[in-house]
Amino acid sequence: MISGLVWRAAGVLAVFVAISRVASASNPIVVEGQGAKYNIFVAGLAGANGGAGTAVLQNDLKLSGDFVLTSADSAQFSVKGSYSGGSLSGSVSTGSREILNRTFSGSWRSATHQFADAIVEAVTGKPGIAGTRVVFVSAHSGAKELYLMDLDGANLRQLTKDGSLSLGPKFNSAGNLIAYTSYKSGYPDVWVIDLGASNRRRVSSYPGLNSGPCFSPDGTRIALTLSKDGNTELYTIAAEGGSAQRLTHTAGAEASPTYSPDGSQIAYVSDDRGSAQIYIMPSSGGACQRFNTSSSYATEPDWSPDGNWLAYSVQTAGQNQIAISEIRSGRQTVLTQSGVNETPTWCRNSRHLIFARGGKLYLLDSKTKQIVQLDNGLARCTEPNASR
Amino acid sequence: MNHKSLLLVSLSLALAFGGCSRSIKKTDGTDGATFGDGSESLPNTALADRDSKINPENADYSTLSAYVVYFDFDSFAVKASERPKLEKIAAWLGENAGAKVVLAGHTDSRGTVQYNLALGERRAIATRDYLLGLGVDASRLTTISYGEERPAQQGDNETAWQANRRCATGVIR
Repeated sequence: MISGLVWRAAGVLAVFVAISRVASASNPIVVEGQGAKYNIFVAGLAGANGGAGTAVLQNDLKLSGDFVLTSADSAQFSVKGSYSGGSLSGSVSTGSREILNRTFSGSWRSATHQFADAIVEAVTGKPGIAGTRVVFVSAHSGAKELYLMDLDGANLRQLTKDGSLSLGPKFNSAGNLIAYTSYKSGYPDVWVIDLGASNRRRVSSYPGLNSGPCFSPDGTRIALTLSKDGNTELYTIAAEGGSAQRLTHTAGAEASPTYSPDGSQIAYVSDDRGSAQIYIMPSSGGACQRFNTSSSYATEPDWSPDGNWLAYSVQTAGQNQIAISEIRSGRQTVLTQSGVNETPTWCRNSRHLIFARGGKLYLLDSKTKQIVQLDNGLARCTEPNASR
Repeated sequence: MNHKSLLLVSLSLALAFGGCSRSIKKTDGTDGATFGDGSESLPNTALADRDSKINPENADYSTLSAYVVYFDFDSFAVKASERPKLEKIAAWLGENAGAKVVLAGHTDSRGTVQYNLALGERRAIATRDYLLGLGVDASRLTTISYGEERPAQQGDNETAWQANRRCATGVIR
């Protein structure tokens, strides 16, 4: 961590020199807003899968938002590595000094993502996102089913094949469980998939609606919308299922709970005052406060892992844009400009968001507003959720 | 129950309702009949337990298709224009004593998936509450929301949106 801070300070100084030099020679990546990037050179990785691995690593570093891939001459950081015997040994140096030298195990693809994240952390001191997995809904095959992929769109895996409706998947903090709504029984029930055990079970099947499940950060509870008592309200249940504790008492509809990372609060959507708005309340129930989004229609809040931000979508003129607000100051930034953009989900670095637009998934850098499509080969993709 | 526990119950109820509770949703210039029966109380008639013989997928939506209830954008108020349809449904239930119905709430494609699921259910519940007010027994009414997932009409235009903001009544015999 100390070396990360040191290199970040050195890098910030060096990057301005580097960018002005590179700009005259080739086209720099065009970004909206501010976002310092480091010049990095990736030597071809050696060993079996070296060619494919190099491409994956280079793509990971580009997606991180922290790097511009350059030639060895203009690079501040230089990356080397080789695959052998089911692991990847990688190193990073700047000038003659080595700042990272480690071995990563797992599949070649997983090891490469771990290497990318280690590079990001060594240089910036912040967590990388290459190891992120994304669960989402796709109606590619007709019915809405759940799928899982790596952040870069690879490693696609179909999780459900019910020919029914599967909606709103969300990971737990550990990333091994996924809660979602399924109409498999004919009714909207909440199910939990255990990725490790490759099984699933129904955890909520009260009369009426069971929807929008979200795990508490410690994984012990699930917040969700139920209508069993005669209105659509927020409740929590034990993560394994069980009796429901009611959180809200309004005449309107409540949906989309998201926990603060310390588990003490829940942000959610309510139309109790006439249109869909975001509110925050204690996760054990009690007084709620409206969260001002400067919009008459705000839904789908997602609380950032560092606790400082809410991402959500706002509706204007029939379109939907992705916005974030700093919770303390309420300062809002709208990150997208056109189209129907839905379901923002924070990555673990509290900087990148994944969202859906026109059936495709995108990675959005909240710092630069740069947007990259995460192509997984499927059409009609919605409701992404990122592992933390 | 002794007096002390009664006091505790009323205290905790007061605390709960003092929190995130409000008397009535604004109805944006419509007729104000949010709950269908004109009352200002929270809808709180618990839903009947699921009937294991009912699968909403098998409901027959054609028999009562003339009585689909339509809603304004982002509203679950049962409009005056829609109430005669609910009277027809109540009458039909009176004549078909063995039948149960599924009230399926839907939304247009605007807005987002999860909120639309909640709004669709709220529309089904508003419809249910109106029928309860007309004397229909709660055990004959099952609510379900399909949110924006099953539009009656495709398209991103006002005609399609209007057609999709609805509560359809499906018959289970």
